[in-house]
Amino acid sequence: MTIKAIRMPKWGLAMEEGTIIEWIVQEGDDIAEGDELMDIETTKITNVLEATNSGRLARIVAGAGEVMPVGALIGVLTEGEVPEAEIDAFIAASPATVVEEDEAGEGDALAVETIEAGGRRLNVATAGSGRPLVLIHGFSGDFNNWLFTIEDLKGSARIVAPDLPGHGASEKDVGDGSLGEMSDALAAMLRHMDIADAVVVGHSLGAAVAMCMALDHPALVARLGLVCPAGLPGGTLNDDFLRAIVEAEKTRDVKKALLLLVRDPDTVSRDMVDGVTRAIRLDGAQAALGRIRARMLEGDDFADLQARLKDLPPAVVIASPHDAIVGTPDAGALPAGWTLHHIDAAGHLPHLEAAAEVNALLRELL
Amino acid sequence: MARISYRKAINQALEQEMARDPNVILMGIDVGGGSGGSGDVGSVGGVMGVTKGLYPRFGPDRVIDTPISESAIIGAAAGAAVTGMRPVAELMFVDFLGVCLDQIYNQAAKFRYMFGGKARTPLVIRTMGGAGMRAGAQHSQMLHPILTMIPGLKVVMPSSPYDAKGLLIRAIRDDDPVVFLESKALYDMKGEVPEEAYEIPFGEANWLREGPDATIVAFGAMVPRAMQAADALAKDGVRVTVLDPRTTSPLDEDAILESVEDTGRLIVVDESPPRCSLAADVAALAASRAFGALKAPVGMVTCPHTPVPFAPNLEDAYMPSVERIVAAVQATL
Repeated sequence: MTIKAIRMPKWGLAMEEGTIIEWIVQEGDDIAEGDELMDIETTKITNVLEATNSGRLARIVAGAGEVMPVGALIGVLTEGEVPEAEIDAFIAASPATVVEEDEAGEGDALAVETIEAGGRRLNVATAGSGRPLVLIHGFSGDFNNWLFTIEDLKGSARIVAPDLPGHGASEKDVGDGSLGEMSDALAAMLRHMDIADAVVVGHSLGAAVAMCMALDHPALVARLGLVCPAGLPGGTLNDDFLRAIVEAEKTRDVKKALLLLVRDPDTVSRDMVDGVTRAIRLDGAQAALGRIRARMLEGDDFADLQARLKDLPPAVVIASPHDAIVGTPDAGALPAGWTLHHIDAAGHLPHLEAAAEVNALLRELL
Repeated sequence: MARISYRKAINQALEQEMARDPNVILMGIDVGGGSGGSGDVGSVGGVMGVTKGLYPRFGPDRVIDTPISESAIIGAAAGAAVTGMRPVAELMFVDFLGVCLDQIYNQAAKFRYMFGGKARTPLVIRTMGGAGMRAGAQHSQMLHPILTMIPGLKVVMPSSPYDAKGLLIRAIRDDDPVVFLESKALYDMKGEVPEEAYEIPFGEANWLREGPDATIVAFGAMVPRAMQAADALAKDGVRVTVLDPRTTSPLDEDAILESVEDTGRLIVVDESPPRCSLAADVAALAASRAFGALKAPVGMVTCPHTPVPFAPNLEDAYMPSVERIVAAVQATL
């Protein structure tokens, strides 16, 4: 007989509290590890909390609508027969807040640092230990886009999630804005961190950068995961989105652009919009994005990439039939050995909209 | 991202803009730290320490300690602006506005208009206001209504460190006269602020929270109070929208109307006596342009029509409190 706590999770650096939208399970239910417990809304996004233990849900401590700090006790699981009084004592003894980062053990907490390499200053988030897993975000994103992937996989890999040049808190110099320029920058950063033979996962533009890095710096890349990749045969490139971000003046312009990315418009929270708005308002950010956009539209980077696909290591491609930005790649045109997965419950951001499915596929790469 | 104070965010904006553009200069009483006096020059940086460190870095040509004459400070700065400098003049307390009002409303605010658009006046007047500091009736006022009604002036009321930095950089790069009205009560407030420079455009409200039940519009130091009220209301299941217009001129009327049309209830929190206040102004906006959406009379949470009292208990009662904001929201439900 044991008692286990269900606590408010910490999804990303900025999360300090979460709102319980609703419990999916009820008191008395038997829970298996991985079962969906409840929907939690943070300032960034709404997501499902899954059980990390099995047992019977003995008590719901915080109900729907309640705002609880990260680490706070929100429910109690029991295994075997546990007297009610012991559960009450467990709840009473539980501190209101728990500083999770310190308890999680070394290497598990998300660290953000600035690395100077290859003549550039890049911002990079790292967590966990083990096989290196490099996560490269897409156009106008930053490392926070991988929030749920980092949370899920940091126990199984050494996660390295950089902000691309021109993005997030990285330097705004993007040179000619080419895939090669960005992949060289990341390669210099990885070498500086003594990382090689990594699993490299990219989203959208980041997937194209990942492929470019695998071709130009093969020792760094062992396997590829491509989430809604830009630049594959059969795909498209929606300039309505790129242009809207490059020309956005007001927050509402940014929101309109971000709505193109998702299947469920509720995914785009006010804080997600504010985050992107803040990033593109940094001096030089929109000019940098403008150079990258121009290169994507007018340069030959994608054509060059497609001509060399067969030289790439086998890749796992994750695409969505509802992707309004890059469409879906032509399965017949992908090299032998590549696998293509379609995720229905998402638009262009399956790592946010259908994180569990994406993370399960990425875990297989490790 | 670094967490820094509102005071430091303003200091950082000044330092970065001075480093970027040699035309940016500071002038005001003790902004350098009392040159000509016996103290260590550059060690003070104004009565609140906001300009600390700028005199040692940029020197006496760009950080100019002035005589105690508000009309001279603002008049000289307005003239410098017309010649192509980008002066940031400090009016130590907004309470001293009357001394230099002619330079502001009759000169700086009118140059572009009277010279057929050929004159630009990139002048920033940094000043501070607000009660709660036990500073008496002549050092505690928040005079944004007087400034907001003057065509040709832009008026900024930052409510957080992030906004203070981005709005001040925007103000310095703006080609029109801007009054940047800091809240004394917020100087020690901390928040995440990027180290890089960034601009926040004028006339765009910040949606701090979205809720379907009511809209609270608050300005400057009233914004954190409105957020506390929103937290208290949430415990009773009342979910409100909190809007900070950030600038009173231009005013983001669209955001206010859009939100009122969603919620049907409006409460305006304004650190000002009620007559001719921003509370009255925003209430009139809703009454004239969103009347059909309103489900209850507009709530105005303001100061009373009195000077700011010196007795601490009366000064506390003078300010719009979290309790009064909560009560005003509940009255509309």
